[in-house]
Amino acid sequence: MAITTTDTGLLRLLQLSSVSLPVGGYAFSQGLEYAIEAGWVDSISSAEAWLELQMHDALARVDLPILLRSYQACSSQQGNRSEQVYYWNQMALACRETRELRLTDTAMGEALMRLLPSLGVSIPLSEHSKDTPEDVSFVTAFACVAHQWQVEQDAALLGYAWSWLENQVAAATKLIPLGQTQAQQLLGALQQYVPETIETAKALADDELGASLPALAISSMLHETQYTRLFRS
Amino acid sequence: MNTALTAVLKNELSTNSSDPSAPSRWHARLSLGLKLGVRGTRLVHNEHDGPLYVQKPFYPEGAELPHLYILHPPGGLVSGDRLQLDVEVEEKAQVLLTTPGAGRVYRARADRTLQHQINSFQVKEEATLEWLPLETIIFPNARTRLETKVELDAGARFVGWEVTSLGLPACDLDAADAEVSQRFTVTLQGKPVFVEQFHLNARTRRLYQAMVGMQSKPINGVFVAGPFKSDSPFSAKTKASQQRAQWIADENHRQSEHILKQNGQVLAALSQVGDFVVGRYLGDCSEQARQLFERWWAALRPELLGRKACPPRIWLT
Repeated sequence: MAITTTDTGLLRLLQLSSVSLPVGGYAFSQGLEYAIEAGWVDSISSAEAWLELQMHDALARVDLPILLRSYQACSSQQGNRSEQVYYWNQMALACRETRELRLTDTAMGEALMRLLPSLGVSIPLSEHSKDTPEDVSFVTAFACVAHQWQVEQDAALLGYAWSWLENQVAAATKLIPLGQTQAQQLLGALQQYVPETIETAKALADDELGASLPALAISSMLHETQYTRLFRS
Repeated sequence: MNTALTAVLKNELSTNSSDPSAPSRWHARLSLGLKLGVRGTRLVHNEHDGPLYVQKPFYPEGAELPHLYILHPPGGLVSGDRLQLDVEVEEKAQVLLTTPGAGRVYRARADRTLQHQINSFQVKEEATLEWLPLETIIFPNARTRLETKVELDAGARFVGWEVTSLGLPACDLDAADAEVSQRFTVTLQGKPVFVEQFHLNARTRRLYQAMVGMQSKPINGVFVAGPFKSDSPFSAKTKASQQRAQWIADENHRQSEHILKQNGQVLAALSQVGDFVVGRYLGDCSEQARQLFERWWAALRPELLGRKACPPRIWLT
């Protein structure tokens, strides 16, 4: 995969995918905290296996294909743009297997939406949420902002995958725990799968969207009721 | 599983070999309609084409809510088979659906044509549907697509579960080499509210053993119930929703204790996702999954349907 981008597009992408974007992704472990409690993840190699499969079987089948469709809906010339984006927003939420995973998505989505007026950005979701204030998925909000900022579509997919990865590796680093060098090694190992993840996402048909990683879902459900935890649920 | 059943299944497995010279392709279809009248909910439409049918409705809990047993005498799908169940529950009508036997998806024939099952449920305004089937057993090397699509109108409610057995653990029969695509979706007034898409094929094979996937446990169950009225963000939580949250927490604490003590032999948990309660089982015994789901169903039914659990009689035999 080769990505072409303009300087402005690249800078905007860096801004949107940076951990400094105040959306609070660092507050969620997405099932990882319970997996560590249960001993399913206990090292850099088991963390890599845990995250790599999620990239192929969840990120590639839910987040990225929905990001792609939301982005395309933003540039659509036909029909009601805000209706189309809203549909994909609902789809993103419907694919979240647990309250924790859904909250991760909507808390970050809401934070991004709150930030937009101050950045002078207005997206199709803003119009829709005025009439029916409902949960906004970070995936669709991210797609709309990327479109508005003229970040190329593939670059937007790459940026989203990167920010997901960075949050998950940061959570693993705190919880397992890993050293700073190991965290960089883990990021290095996992980023090799990003291009393949994006290719899978782009090849998916609408009726193939969706994922199921049963133990991840159970881990996330049990995190919601875990007695002591560092991360939000 | 009892030994007699195990013997039957073993026998089936040896006789149901792939024989391309005798391809029997059954496209069976059953279409049901339920309507509320002065005498309760009646099965007003019952049309079948091929070996998939309902004999007669049972009314163990009164005239408003019949129990229907979906019968499929061949007992399973071979390559090229297609089984379609369409159910429409009209305004304010209620129905409970179950199956007297496990569904089977046999070993694929050499041509590997799809073994396809589609359940399509339309639940109109204020109507209710319960989909409580026995498990589906997927034989080694099967190639199948299983779809369940639930469409709810305003005020409609749904409880359902699906338990899938990859192979037959009791017979040491491992179907991790099967190709399975399983889709379970619920929409509410046209809007997707629950989407689950399980894929197991050559590309995703690793998920069977992976800790984040199935942890080498062959029985995968998913349970869905709702919608439960959501609390308004501007007012205090209702008593019912507080009780439900407490019940989920208690259940999860119990399950987590088992997991941490027994090294994760059986994994199960619940979560309220939006207005739906979603539960999962991952383990090695279909009967255990069904009993757990039955307990969850019994706990949620009073709030969701205003009725105590009334297990279909066939479960007791």
